[in-house]
Amino acid sequence: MSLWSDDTINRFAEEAELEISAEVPCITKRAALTVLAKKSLYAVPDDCITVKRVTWQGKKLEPRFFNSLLEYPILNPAGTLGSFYDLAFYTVAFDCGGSDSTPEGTPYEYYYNGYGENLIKLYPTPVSNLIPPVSPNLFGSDIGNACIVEYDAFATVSGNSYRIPAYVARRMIKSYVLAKCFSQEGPGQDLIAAKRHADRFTQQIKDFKIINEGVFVSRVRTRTPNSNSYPAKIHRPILPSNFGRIVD
Amino acid sequence: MSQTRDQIASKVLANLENAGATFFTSTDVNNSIQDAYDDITCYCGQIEKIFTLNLQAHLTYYNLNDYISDFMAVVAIHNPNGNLWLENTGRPELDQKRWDWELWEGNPQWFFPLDVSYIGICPRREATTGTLKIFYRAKANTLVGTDTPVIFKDYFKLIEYYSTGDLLESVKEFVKADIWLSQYLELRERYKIANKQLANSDRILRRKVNAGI
Repeated sequence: MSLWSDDTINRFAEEAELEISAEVPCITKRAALTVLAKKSLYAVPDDCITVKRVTWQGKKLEPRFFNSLLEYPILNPAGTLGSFYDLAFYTVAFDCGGSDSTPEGTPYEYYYNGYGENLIKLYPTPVSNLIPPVSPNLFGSDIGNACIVEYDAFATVSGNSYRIPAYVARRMIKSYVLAKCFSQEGPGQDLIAAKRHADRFTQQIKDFKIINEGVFVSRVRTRTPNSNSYPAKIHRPILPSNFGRIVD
Repeated sequence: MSQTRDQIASKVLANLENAGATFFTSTDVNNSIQDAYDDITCYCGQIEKIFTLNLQAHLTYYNLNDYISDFMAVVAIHNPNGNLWLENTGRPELDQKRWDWELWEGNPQWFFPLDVSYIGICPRREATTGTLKIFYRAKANTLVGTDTPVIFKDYFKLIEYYSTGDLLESVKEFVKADIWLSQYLELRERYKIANKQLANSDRILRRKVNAGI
């Protein structure tokens, strides 16, 4: 007779995948927002860990911090420039009351923090609807037709897609399940074994971080001849970070 | 020297004084050997292969797991159209080149890994024509009894160390397991370095022109 039920083991196995994907961001997903005119706040999917990139019809939106909105002159509903000492100004500028702020236009920035869990704010507020196609290809042909949020995601614990890579999954899930099972109250409890497998899981997480970082390092520079290493770039001035601001 | 899975299994069983006995089943031992091979391969990346990818119209990001069953990581990409090695770059650099580079169409010049499955290609193709040669690190295949793992000959004992330690650990012989597993971890680091040195043998070190941007 088994010391632990299948339900318990399956529960810990699912938990392990979520834990691993949270510790080592290795799964990327894309979602299209259904954008409505004059609405600036949008929920990102529940399985989002971190927003990596937001694009508007293929153009990257710059990520901004909540407090950087202070740098912008924002019109209040009366159409006049808001005062920094005016409570109504803050209500409008930061959507504190849940309303949508001016100005309106094509978004070029987004704000991720400050508006509640898993909410992003597009800035300026979209002036028109942008409804994504049915079954869009967000990695290809529909990039230009949608507002896309790309994010690090939790693993999907069923099916074949968005799982922890098979080359690490079995060993890591086994260690996690053993650590949890041995620490559970009951005839199978063994705290020394639980600690042993928990330590092993921690070591495997460290290894997986190294493996995951290795995914992004190619050896291409060693094989690239000088002639085509650095092709001509389109001319575009890179302005200093303090451009346009008064500095002492 | 090279060994088959069955030969490694018999060594592991001898280490455990299990030869002829049935304390550890053959399934236990074979699973442990497969775990060892997976761990070594994904950590050290010793298996490299080539795949010809057919380019798709208007596709910026390719999920290479859909095309290559044993894909693990990109090593390099060659574009036969123009005889060009694609430059490994990042999205911040592409953002500097062009705001809407995800829609940029033409002959691919740059690539970047997005995660363990996806790579981005820029510019993308406007029509379903052309190919790319993908040089990639492959994950370990599933071994059967007569298969020989792809590992440098000097390092075959890695599998033996891991499996012996792993099986001892499974019966809570933690002190004994540590002896084997610590040897394994030490040797695995050496093998990883050996792999890198092999790859660097003809490397030309060169300062990146736009370093620091």
